Amino acid sequence: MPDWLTHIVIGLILIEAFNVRKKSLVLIGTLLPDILPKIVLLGLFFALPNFNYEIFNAFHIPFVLFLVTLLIAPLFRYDYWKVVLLMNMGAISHFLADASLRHFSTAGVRLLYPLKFQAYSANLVWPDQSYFILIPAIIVYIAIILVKNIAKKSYPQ
Amino acid sequence: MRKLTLFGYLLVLVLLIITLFHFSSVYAGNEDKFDMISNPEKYPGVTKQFMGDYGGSFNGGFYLAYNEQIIPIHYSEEYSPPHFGNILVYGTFNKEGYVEAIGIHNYDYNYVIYFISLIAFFFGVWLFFKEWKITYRGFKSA
Repeated sequence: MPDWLTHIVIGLILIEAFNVRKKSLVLIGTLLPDILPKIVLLGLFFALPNFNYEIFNAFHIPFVLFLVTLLIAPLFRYDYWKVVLLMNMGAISHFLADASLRHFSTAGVRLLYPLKFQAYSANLVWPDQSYFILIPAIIVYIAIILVKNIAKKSYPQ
Repeated sequence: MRKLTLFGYLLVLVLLIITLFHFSSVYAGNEDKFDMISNPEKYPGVTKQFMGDYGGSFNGGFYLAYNEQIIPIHYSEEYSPPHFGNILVYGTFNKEGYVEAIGIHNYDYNYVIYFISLIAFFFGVWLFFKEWKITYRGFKSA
């Protein structure tokens, strides 16, 4: 996975590009695919109860995460379909960023599950070199903010 | 309308549970947890990638700490351990209890990535509670 900062910056680009009001919903979407699968990392700090944690990898699949967003959307007192849409917007950006990563073998994102179990990867950058994604993403984000500010000054409402 | 919504919600929940069971059964077949130190004869010729920590070197390779096991990795090329990170090994299992590495990648400064991710996570939590207030009926706009 790229680091979560990269995922968040990509989410912020989408937020600015689509003028999203509830920014946190997109940001939840950008982190949600990694939250449960990475719970095993807590095992680095303390002993975890005996459990099949591999099942959490299922949440790193677009179809499964879509179902999860359908279930958690009612937690928000906001337009149901907007919540689902914004969370999935963030999640899709997460999956596409992850699919750009490089691996030795067949690792990647199972984009077409349940139709196909195959994992897809563009094999572009190693996960520890995610700054190749982060730095351009920060530049794009700043550029969007600047363009929006210039447009606001040029065409005041 | 309320009944229909509830029915739809239950349907999605059932679909999610079935999907998790299906994934679990297929994944178990694909990503079988291997115990190659105790049962090396089970895995000869199996080629896969796995990530672990550096556990010291020996002549012709190094040890990888993976899943509470120390696996000898035979690697013919010159190798230096990662800086603040893990090692990704792609190799073929041997029945004598070692892995013949085909490719190796050092995840240098991977621990730094975890730290950066933690900061990003807290930023996300901060922004979330800036926009949402928790109530007994869920989250409402702050």
